Amino acid sequence: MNGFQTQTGARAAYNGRKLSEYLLTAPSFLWLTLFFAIPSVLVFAIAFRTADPSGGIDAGWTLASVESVLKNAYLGVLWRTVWVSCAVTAICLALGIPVGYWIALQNPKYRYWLLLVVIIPLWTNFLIRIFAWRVLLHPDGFLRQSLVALGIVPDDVFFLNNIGAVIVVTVYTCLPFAILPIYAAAEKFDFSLLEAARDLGASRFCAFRRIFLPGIRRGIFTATLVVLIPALGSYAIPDLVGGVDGEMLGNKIAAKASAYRNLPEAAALAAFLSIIITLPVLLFLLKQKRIIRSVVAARRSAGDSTK
Amino acid sequence: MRTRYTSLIVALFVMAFMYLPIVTLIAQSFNASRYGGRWMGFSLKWYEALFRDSAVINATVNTLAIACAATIFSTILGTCAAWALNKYRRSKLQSVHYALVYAPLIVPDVLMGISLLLLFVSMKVQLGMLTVIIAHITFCVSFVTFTVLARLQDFDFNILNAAQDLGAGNFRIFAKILLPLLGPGIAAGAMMAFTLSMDDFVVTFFVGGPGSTTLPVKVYSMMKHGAPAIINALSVVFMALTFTVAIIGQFCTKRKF
Amino acid sequence: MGEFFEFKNIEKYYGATHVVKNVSFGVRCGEIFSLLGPSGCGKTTMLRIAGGFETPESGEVFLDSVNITSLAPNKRKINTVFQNYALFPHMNIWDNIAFGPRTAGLPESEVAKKVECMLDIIRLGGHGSRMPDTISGGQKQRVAIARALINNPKLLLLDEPLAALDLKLRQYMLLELDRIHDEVGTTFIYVTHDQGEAMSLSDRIAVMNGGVIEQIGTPAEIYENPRTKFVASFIGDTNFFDGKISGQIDGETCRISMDELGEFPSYNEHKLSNGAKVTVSIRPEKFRIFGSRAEAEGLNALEAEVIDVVYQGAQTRYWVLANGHRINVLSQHNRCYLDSKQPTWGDKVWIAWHRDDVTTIPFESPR
Repeated sequence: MNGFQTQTGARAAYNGRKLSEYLLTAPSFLWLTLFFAIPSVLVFAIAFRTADPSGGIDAGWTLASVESVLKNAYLGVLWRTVWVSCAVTAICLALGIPVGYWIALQNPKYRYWLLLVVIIPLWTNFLIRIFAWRVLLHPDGFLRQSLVALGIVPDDVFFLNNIGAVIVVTVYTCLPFAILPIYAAAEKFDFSLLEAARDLGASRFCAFRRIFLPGIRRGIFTATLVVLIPALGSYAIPDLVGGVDGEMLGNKIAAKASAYRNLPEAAALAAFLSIIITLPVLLFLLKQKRIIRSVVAARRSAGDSTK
Repeated sequence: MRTRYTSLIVALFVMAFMYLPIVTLIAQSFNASRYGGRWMGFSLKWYEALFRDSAVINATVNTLAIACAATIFSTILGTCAAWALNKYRRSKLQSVHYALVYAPLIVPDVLMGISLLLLFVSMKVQLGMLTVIIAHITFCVSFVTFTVLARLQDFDFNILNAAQDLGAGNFRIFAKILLPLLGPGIAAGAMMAFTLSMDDFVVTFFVGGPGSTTLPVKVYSMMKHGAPAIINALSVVFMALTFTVAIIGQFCTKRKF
Repeated sequence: MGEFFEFKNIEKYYGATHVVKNVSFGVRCGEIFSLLGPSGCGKTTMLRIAGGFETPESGEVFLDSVNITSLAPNKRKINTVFQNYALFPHMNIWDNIAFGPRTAGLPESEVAKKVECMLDIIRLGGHGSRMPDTISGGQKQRVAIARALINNPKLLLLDEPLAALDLKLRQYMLLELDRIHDEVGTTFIYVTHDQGEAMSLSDRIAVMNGGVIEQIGTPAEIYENPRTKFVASFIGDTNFFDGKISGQIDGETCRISMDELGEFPSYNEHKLSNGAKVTVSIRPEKFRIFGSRAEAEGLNALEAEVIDVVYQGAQTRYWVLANGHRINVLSQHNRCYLDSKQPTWGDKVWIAWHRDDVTTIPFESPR
């Protein structure tokens, strides 16, 4: 009888624990299911719906939107979106890795402040940062004027409304996000490993490339993800500094959704973009699982050695 | 070390790159000239024009109202979520929950905007303040959750046992231990939500309707349709506003016990 | 009953894991009682049950003959010193120590008197305004003890209190704990995985393993007379031999044939009869090393070859090989080590032991 009491007691405690878990989880879980998970799936469904001439969604089903997205001139925009995003990511890494390395080498007392210097531009509104670049790159702005006056650039070169401006401004907005994870990884890196590599005959660059870079690969991976994905989905930057030649997939989505009011086609384009973005995310998840596994393995072996 | 010099040079270049546009912008806002490369004398006329513009004032009120609403709700949702994620770490439900909270962080704004727009349109919800607030809560929840979660993971739950061991009841534990120790973390999450909401343009642009124009949307339309000189001044005011919130947020996270 | 604090038939599961298996024992008033065992043996669970942080699935807990099994932690006259101190990080030392009496609603003047008194006991007078993260590990430890003792608990629980300290500080804190115990006279239950701490501090020790108590006794009883193979190996070094009772000499002594080493008269504590399988444990320091059999007159002796010598200052550890058995022998330097010729690598020696210095443990089938 005692055993029975024990079991029911334990079950009551377990049920109580379950109930409080559900109560705590429900608000965010339901909210994000309703306003994040369902809409994300909805995009794929609406891509096959017919458009309502007044700008809504009709009850019928059609393949027209998906077909027009696949056939049309969108392939050019798609290609531009991908190469611009990759270029932005590469530049952010090329700049972010040395900066992360440099900050990690500084006296710990100043690191926080240096990091703050990197973060502060993020505190400025996203649109205002773009606007600042428009002011800076403006044909009558002081940068072009002084460069032309100094004879560095010819008079017929314009900085604004081209693909170059899109890349520069996207790098500008993404760079802090690349530096932060790289710095976080570099800070944990044991710099005496570089001396060990030098001791074993590696050149400075070789030690940097073969010891430091693999040592901070998690940071590089995170940086890649946090730059590449927003870049693939960028809308405001190409819209404001890119001109006609700088349009990206995000602009097409926004144009279909607002100017043309063809929501199924916008949905088809968005579904297209989701699929493109899933690729790096899946890669990241695979990698992260491996990382989680290695952490678990490390902890287990550490636990064994203490016993 | 040569790599050190290379990295120093890159670092200096990056710092210059980060600050050049902002400094130019601030300088321009006090320049009497519209765009001019030349300095036409110090002037506050753009600021005067700004404060006379009722649409800007209206947008500011909207921005603050939306940010406040989004902050309150996302802080409640995010704090509960963080607590659940931390306390029931090993449960299956929480690994799904974690994925659900994590995913919005890596979805680009454009996708979040269009998918919410599609949801609202298919549910026949009128676009306006309400839809903007819902959208803002949605992307703020994840950030609040992870900010609070980081704080909870550092928190030594043993001290709750210690307080109980020393005779404290639930209320005393909450007032004397939980609130002073976790309050700053939750406040930091709230500040983050507030800044994110104030900063957002893309999602608002998609799900907003008449009457829900926020400052970023206003700045965008001003940029698209003339009036650039006022934006200089508006930007500086806006910058000062975000800086204040961000500095308070920074203060909350930096304060260690 | 009779015991001051008592566990009766405690059972505890974590999910499907049976962490405490029908454990009962009592603690006497005023003693320092240690729960000693490897990590995961259930000792911390026992402490948490005593503190009220876990409820046993079955069984009862008594304090001063009162059943406190279902009493909440804040209602028990028991206080705990937590493993990582669990000092409140946002309060200074004074406020940390004052937390208990303030919670009890004592007037501030009385609280101040009590805190001052505790600060004196832990020798941190004048440090009251320091924050926990600005003091050393040993000081934090003493603050945690003061904070727990200020409520005048009937029982103080200490969960691995010295685990986070370095060796020097640990030795100092052991003396401090002993001094504080002498000063306040409270009953201590002390959980540790460190046999050295348990041996030097405790009046009695309970050795736990796999959720059961293997043995309870004074430090000397546990060291000299381990009841199980686990206790013998967990506390101190020892040499194990498999053996079998092969004959009786008198009521107290029997013959044991030990592996291929031969037959030796041994003390037969458990009165085992012929043919019983036993594990024989002989501590390294119980052996003596002689150059010839004749010197080991009256003792059991084995011929062996020295294969390793480790000089350790106060003693020398020898590894010798006897008929394929590596045996660990510890020799104390009662005279100057350099004055006489010492056995060295490759020497043939005789290792000898007294028949009473053998512990026989009835053979346990492997668990």
